Formats: sequence, structure tokens, C-alpha cells
Amino acid sequence: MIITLQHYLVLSVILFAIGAIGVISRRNIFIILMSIELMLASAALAVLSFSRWNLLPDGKALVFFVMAVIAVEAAIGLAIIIVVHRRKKSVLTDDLGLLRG
Amino acid sequence: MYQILFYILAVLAVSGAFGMITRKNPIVSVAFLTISMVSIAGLFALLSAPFLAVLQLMISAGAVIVLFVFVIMIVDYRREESRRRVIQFGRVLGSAAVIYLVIVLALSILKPPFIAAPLTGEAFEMPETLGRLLISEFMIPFELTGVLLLSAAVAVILMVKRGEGERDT
Amino acid sequence: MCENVLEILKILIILAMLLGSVPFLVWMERKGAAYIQDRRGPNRATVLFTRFGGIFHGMADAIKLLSKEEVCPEGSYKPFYFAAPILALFLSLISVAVIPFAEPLKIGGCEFNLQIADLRSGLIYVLAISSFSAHAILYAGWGSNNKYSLIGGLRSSAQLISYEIPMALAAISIFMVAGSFRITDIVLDQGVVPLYWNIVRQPVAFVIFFVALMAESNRLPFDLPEAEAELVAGYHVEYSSMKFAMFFMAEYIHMFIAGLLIATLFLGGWQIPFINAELLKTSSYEIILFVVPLLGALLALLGALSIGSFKKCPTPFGKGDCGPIIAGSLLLIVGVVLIVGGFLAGMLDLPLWVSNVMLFLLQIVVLLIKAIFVCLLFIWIRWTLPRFRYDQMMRLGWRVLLPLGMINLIVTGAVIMYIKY
Repeated sequence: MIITLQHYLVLSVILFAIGAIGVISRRNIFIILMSIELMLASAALAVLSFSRWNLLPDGKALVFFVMAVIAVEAAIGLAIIIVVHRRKKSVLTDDLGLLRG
Repeated sequence: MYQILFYILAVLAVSGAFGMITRKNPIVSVAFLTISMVSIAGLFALLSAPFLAVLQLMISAGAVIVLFVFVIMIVDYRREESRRRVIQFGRVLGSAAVIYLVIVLALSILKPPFIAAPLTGEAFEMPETLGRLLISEFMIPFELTGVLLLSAAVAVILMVKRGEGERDT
Repeated sequence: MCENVLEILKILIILAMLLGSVPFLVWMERKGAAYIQDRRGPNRATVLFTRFGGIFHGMADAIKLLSKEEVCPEGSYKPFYFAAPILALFLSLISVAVIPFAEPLKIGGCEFNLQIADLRSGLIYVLAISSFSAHAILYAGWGSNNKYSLIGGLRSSAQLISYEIPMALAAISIFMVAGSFRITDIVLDQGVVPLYWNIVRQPVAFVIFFVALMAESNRLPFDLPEAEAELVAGYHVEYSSMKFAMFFMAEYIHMFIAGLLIATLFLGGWQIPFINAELLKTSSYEIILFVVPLLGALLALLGALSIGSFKKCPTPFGKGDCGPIIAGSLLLIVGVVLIVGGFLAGMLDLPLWVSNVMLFLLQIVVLLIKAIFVCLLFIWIRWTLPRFRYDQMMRLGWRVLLPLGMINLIVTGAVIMYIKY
């Protein structure tokens, strides 16, 4: 039984779907942010497996940029959470329904 | 060997992700996400990108998750998701849509040819290849990434910094 | 065929070396502390009328810790509480995987490389593992359901993230000098002459790396995660028995690996100063004939001196310390064996692999001596400097080491450009 490109892509889709379900169904901002991280990582996995099967190193460069985006996203997201928590004393999306501070 | 490693890592990644979205406590969720991220790093290594695997371990599983745990610990995370103001219908619909998407994607993916990965040369695995690519072909995106990281750092400091009169909470 | 056996063998050897270093380093730290504080240090534990300057205290400690009661605090989160010490020990053990202990040894068709994984991105792997090791402390702090533990864990994670960046900057300047991420290349790039070691070529990077490693291994000027005076014992305040011992071992293994890493990156690794390994390989005959008897004579002299010192403290058996006489006679025997064996081997004209094995062992010993020297520096600093205040530590990391690292990077790049073009 060989491991084909489809194995990696299916795995990536499953991880992406779990991340998407997490974003949709959870109310805790932390878990939403973590799910976004997971979705980005699964996309990186798909890109990397395409790059491996086509023997093109360009995919690696793309994954490199995705990693930078993961870091930036986490930093900005957590900063927003800290600010929101300072104002509202909550990290649940239910309490953050208003468009003003 | 390769197959066994792939299946172990895949199962770990999926179960870590599943654990992450089902736990109530965000800190336990982060622990599950760590498992998932480390497994994804292992999969990167299996895809003959050891340098990116180590970077994934360092950035996603190391720095970012430590930052997550840090912020979760200083923020009051103990309030559970108890109130049910939002109706469940939207969530169920959303999850169903995602599952539909998965099925469609899986059907579009699972087509022949089912072939094993082609053999890679020495050059494909080397970090040097990636480095040369980054400073030649992807020069401008690379520089822009630097600008992005810098602006993110500045933005985070400006956002989180308290003014003179503001009270510590 | 021989590869698989050798792989397992070398992992076992390196693990044994690391775990064996713990009692030795504990002993060294206690002795060092004692000499800095003008006292004798531990010297009471006696096994078979011998003391060896208290080296058995480590054993006594191990027995004491093993026989203590396991306590699990109420309200703790059990999975994290039990996983944290295991994770701490595991993470401190696996970062040794990329450190080369000696040049690959070739006997017949087999190659024995005392380095578990020769990764192309070796040094980045070390950085990744060290950024990962905050997890253990964070989970220990959070899992024990104790305010002091939690503060210890939070401090530790902030400290690790802050000092990761200067450490990476120092590592990047080494990459630029060596032109490779791979640790073997970095070692070979430094050569055998100490004037070209990275400590001379990159002194600023050395200082930054040293300070950052000290901060990462939570040793005293930076031991805010476990500051006794403020936090009782920080993240491991709720741990007892073997779980505490695991944290303790992890800390000392971390220190030993820090020593190995600095020795490898800045002090020329396994290379013997001033002596080219290729020269030794080709001139095996001379080494065996001259160096081995010389070493034997030195050991025999040491042994004789040790036995001589025994006379000055005439204690009857049963109460005194027979350490000098046992160690002395052992050294004397080894020395005599080496003298006789060296001459015999020189005359018998042994095959080449004997000298290669000897060179291999010599390289390991050289690396270990360098690492222990760095550990001595760590111990010296620990017992000399007082603890930083939290804001002072953060200021040092962000306002001193970070700009220094960046300036060092720019200067290094400029110098490399100037030399090459």
C-alpha cells in the first residue's frame, strides 16, 4: 500500500474541515483563533504535498509565507483578544455582539 | 515504515484537531492543538521538507502556541460557554455545509492516477534551494513578509499598550 | 546490517552519558557553590569507607527522592500535572540528537558516527526544541492549581519567548560565518586553531548566545520561574518524589546540553586544539609509542601523589576516607598498564583501527572537557550574581541583547561581503 498524493490531500481536507467546524460552532475566541491556525496549517500541508509530487520547490516558499502569516495572525489576534477582554471582560463571541467599544 | 509513520501522524493530527474543537477548557484545547501541529510538522518532514518541518515546530508548535497559552492564562478563561442565546440551527447548518464541502472536495480529489511520490534529488531537500528561491524569484514577497511582520509587531504593541491614565485590570 | 545495531548502540551511549552527567553536575555545582562560599561542601556520604569528595551524595539524593511520598494536589488537572515532568525530561533529552560527539569512525565497512541525527537544519532544530520546552513548565504551572506555580509558568514562558529571539539572532550570525545550518559543517568550519574558532570570530554572538542559553535553562541570574524568595519554588512547588526529580534532572541535562552546544558552536566542537585529526590518523604508530606511555606516566604520577596524600591523614579503617588510596591505586594500575601496553603496542605494530578508535575516544573526551568547562562557567555565574528583577530581565532581553544581536548581524554581513568580494 503506497502513500499517494490523495492521502495527503484527504488528510488536509479533513483537518481543514475540522478547523472550519471549530470556527463555526465554537464561541470562545481562543478556540476560533486556534481553528484558523489549524486551517492555515492544513492548507500548507496541501501545498507542500503538491510541491512534493510535482518536484517544484516553489511550494516550499509558499509554505514559508504561510508560516509568517500564522505568526502574524496569532500575534494580532491575541492582541485583539487582550484589548477586547480589557473592555468587555469576556472572551465569548456572544458578548461581543455590538459594533462599538 | 513510511506508511506506518504517515498513518500514525495522520491519526494524531486528526485526533488532536478533533480534541481541540471539542474541549471546553481552552488550555486543554491548546494542548490538543500542539499535538496536531507537531504531527503536521512530522508530515512536513515526511514530504521531504525537513527545514520547513523544523520551522513548523519552532513557529507554530513552539512560539505561537506558547503565546496562546500565555494569553489564555492571563485572560480570565474560566467562564464557560453556558449561555445559549444563539440558536443551534446556524451551527448545525454551518457544520453540515462544511461536511458537504468535505465530501465534494474528497470526490474531486479521489481520482486516478494514484501514484507514489517521485524520487527527490539531494537538492530538493536542501534548505539552500528554498533560500535561493526566496531571494531570487520570491524576492518581493519575501521583503513584504518582513514588512508585514514588522507592522504586526508595531500594531500589537500599540494595541496592547496602556495609556497613562488607564487602570491595570 | 551493522548500521541498525550501531544506531541503537549510539543512542544508548549518548543517553547513558547524559543521564550519568546529572549526578556529576550536581556534585560539581555543590562543590563549586561551597568553594565560592568558602566552605567544604558535601563530604559526608560514605560508601565502603570511601568518599571521593562527596560524589556519592548524588546517589543518596536519588534514593531519598525515590523513597519519598508521591503527593498529588487537590484540584490539579491530572493529565497536565503528570505529563509535565515527563515532557520536561523528554524535551531536554532530545535536543542532544544533533550534537556530534566525535568524527565519524570508520572500521572496515562500518561507519560509526556518534551523532544521533545529522540534520541539515541541525541548529534550527535545537532552537525549535528549546522554544518548545516552555510547554512543560507552563503545563506544570497550570496543572498544579497553585498561584505560585502559575506565576512561575507565566514568567517562564515570557522569558523563553523573549530570549529566543536574541538566541536565534546569534545563531544566524554563526550560520552566516559557517555557511550552513548543519552542526557538523559548523564544527569543521572552525578548524583546529583556536584563533579561528567562533568565540574569536563572533565574540558578540558568543556573549548573546551564552546569556540566552542561561535564560533558557532557568539558571540563577534568570531563575525567575522558580525564584524561592518570591514564588516558593515556582512551577515545581507542588511536585514531590520522582516527579520533582525529573524536573531536577531536566534542569541539569539542559545545562549540560547548553555546555555541549556552546562547546560545539563556539569552541571548536570535538576538534583537538592545534592538532589536525588527519595527521593523527596517518601517524598512528608515533602516537601509540609516545603519547600513550606519556599519558600512562602522568596517570601513574597522579595516583602515586594521591596515595602519598593518604599518609598524611592516618585514620583507621572503618572511620576514615579510603578514597585517595583507592583512586590512587586505580590510577597507578591504569597508568602502568598504559605504559606497558603503549610500548608493547608500539613494538607489535597494531593495525590502524586501534589508533582510530583511540582518536575517536580522545575527541569525545576533548568535547566533554570543553562542555564541562562551560558548565563550570555556568556554575560560577550562578553562585556569583544575584537574581534579576523581572523588569530588569525583560529590559536586558529586549533593549540590550536584541539590538546588539541585530548590529552584530549587520556587521557580520558587511565583513563577509568585504572578505568575499
